Amino acid sequence: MSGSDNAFECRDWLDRVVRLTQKTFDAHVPRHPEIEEYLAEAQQTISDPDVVMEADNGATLIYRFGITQDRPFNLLYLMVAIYYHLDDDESTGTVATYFFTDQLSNSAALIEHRAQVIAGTRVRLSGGGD
Amino acid sequence: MVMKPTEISWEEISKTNTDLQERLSKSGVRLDYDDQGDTLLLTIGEGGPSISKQAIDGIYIKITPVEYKIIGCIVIGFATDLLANNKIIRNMFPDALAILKESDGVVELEGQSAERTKPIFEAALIH
Repeated sequence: MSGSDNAFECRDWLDRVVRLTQKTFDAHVPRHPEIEEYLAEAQQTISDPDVVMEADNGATLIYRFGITQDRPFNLLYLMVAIYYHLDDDESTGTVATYFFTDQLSNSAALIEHRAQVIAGTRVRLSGGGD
Repeated sequence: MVMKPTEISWEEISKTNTDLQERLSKSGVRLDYDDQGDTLLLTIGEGGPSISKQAIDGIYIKITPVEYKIIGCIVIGFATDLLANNKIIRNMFPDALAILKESDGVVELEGQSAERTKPIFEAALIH
């Protein structure tokens, strides 16, 4: 897939390539414009998430709290849903969607919990600092 | 003190959406299926900035940030999970995937056809 077919390509917290295709981006933006506004924050969430979960439908759900100061999204999680697949023996991710949500999934399995929010400040539990 | 994200209650969402059926009929529903992400986006009217709230696994209701009006929902894993594993949804919309694929992923529903999507939103509100 050439770069022009992607809205972005970045590395996740385990250094795997993750892509958001232009087609997926274009399918969501006209109906929910915050998708376009928080494109950079979605990439930041992918590379440095607070929480990683695995849903029954096979999607990996990654969350980052308080990634923007903009109200009302400042007190919400930005969640990115990614499907990972093998691409030339290398695990590669495709973003299915991303949006702001008020809570972590109540059905997906917790894989990693890298930070928690105490008095409005993200506190790292493992990995790099802020 | 541990500060948690602002949680929006289903009770509050239910209260502000008693006009859901009327809005479905009046504004119509647009279905956008993205086969690369396997997501189905249902949008009431024009959509707009939203907060998403998990209803059940893979289904998130989209509400307006201030009034909590339901303006759509998104299904993650629509073909591979929801249609494949949920008989009720499959029976409700037997040709959904075929129709979406034939129409390049976009279907617009009006009036009574739009009202047929109400059970999807109602299922989310039963908590």
